[in-house]
Amino acid sequence: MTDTLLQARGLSKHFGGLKAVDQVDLDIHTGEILGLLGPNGAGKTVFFNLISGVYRPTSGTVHFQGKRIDGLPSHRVAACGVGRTFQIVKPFASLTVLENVLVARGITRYGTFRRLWGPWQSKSETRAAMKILERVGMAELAERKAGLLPLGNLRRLEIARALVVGHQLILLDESFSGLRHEEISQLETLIRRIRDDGITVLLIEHNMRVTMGLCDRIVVLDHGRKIAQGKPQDIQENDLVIEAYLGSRGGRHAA
Amino acid sequence: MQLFFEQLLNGIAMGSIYALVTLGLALVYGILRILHVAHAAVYTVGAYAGLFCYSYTGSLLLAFLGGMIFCSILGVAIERLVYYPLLKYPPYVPLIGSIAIMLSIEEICRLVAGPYILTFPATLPFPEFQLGGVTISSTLTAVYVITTVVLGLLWFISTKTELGLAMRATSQDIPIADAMGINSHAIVSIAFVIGSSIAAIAGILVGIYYNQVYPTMGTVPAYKTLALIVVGGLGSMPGAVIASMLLGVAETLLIGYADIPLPRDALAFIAMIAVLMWRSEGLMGSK
Repeated sequence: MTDTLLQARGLSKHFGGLKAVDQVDLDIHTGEILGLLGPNGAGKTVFFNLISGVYRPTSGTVHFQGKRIDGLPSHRVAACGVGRTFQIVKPFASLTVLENVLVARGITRYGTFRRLWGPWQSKSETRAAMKILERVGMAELAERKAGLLPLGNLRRLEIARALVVGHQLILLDESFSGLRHEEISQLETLIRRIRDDGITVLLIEHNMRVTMGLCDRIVVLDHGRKIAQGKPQDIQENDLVIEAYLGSRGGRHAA
Repeated sequence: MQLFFEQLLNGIAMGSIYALVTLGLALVYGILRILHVAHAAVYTVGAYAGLFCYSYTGSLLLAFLGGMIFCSILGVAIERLVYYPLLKYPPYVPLIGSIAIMLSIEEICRLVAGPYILTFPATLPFPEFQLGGVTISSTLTAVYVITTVVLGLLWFISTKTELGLAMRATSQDIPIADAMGINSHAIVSIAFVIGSSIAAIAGILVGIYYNQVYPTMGTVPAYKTLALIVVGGLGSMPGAVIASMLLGVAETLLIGYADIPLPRDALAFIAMIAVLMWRSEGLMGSK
């Protein structure tokens, strides 16, 4: 029996008449890399936003380590140990790479009003932040302005920030898109290492090869509904999934 | 020469006061990208609240404290009740809201305190200096000292403390700051508390400096500080301070010396137009 880290039940988000996410049940098991797959507009990012507190669900519940987190504002979800990246990379451009990580380190300290007046540049803080940067292989870029980094490094920086916040679970929103071949394989190694360090990973990915190779389990969404879940090879052979991606077989063959 | 130095000292004092008001505006613009025109009304309220506390208690310390507390509450109320709900609209919507608040507060001041000029008969307990025949009055000393302390504190907070880092993060991207565990809404409110407290200090200083408090005392500063944050570079706090100082000195010197047939208040706007034409990012701003 595997441990469930995050449990979503009947999770829905409707925007007017559009059911962006509709009655989705999903379990994330501790220590796995779970892939969230689906064609454009399937509701993957909305689902992320529901878990991370950006949106309040229309209905349904989310439990994280047994604690109910749906409807909490995103800074509170983050404080529970859920870190995330964004589909469009958004570093704090005018801060250095190190400062970007230090902002995230603040999560351990933003809690009380009094602590807000404390210093942020202590030696132990900087050391801890550098350790994270070493983990994602960016230590030598620590003093660079984040706004000047190329995309591959920005993606790593986002993961670094997410790691600081998400000491339990990190949500990666299309971290591979737009990357070159060798950058993709480096990032795959990094994500595997993160998982081996005991952090659970939920990732949205378009690149089939990456998803199939990297994920332990895959959940497929289409039009806001969960249409399949299972091991990568099962998903590859699932008729519903093939239909969602390629259109129904009969129709195409006739043409 | 003596006159020149006296004018220069007055100019620096003027510039300091501009800087105090403009800082709040720069702070708010930096975080919410809203032109907080009503900030000048907060400054007026600060002068009134300070005067009120002073005439009841006779203590200047309580006057400053009372003004700061009252203005903080007012500032946060404006943020929570007006700006926050309007943030999802294009920037001119909160701007119109802000102008409306400014006019209403002015009218409320007129209704509550009357349309007259009230006097603020207090002397600030600061020493007077003689420097080579030039007298630095206790009020001038007070303006210099208080401005220096406020700027120093603000610099310390924004560069050295956790709050400063959280504020910088929030000003760059609110959703991301949230994802980093920052309660950005609280940070925004703290920024309003800081900006409004400084506005209260400025209002009381001006009230004492000119010995006048009246409902429309914020009108000219409202437009002038707007010009100043543009000149300084939108959202840049060092830029706001430098632009304010330059303007204060330029106003007093140019208008006092050269026979320029212009009202002194025009200078700020000429500077703004010039900056917009030749260096639209402002003195210290980034594009």
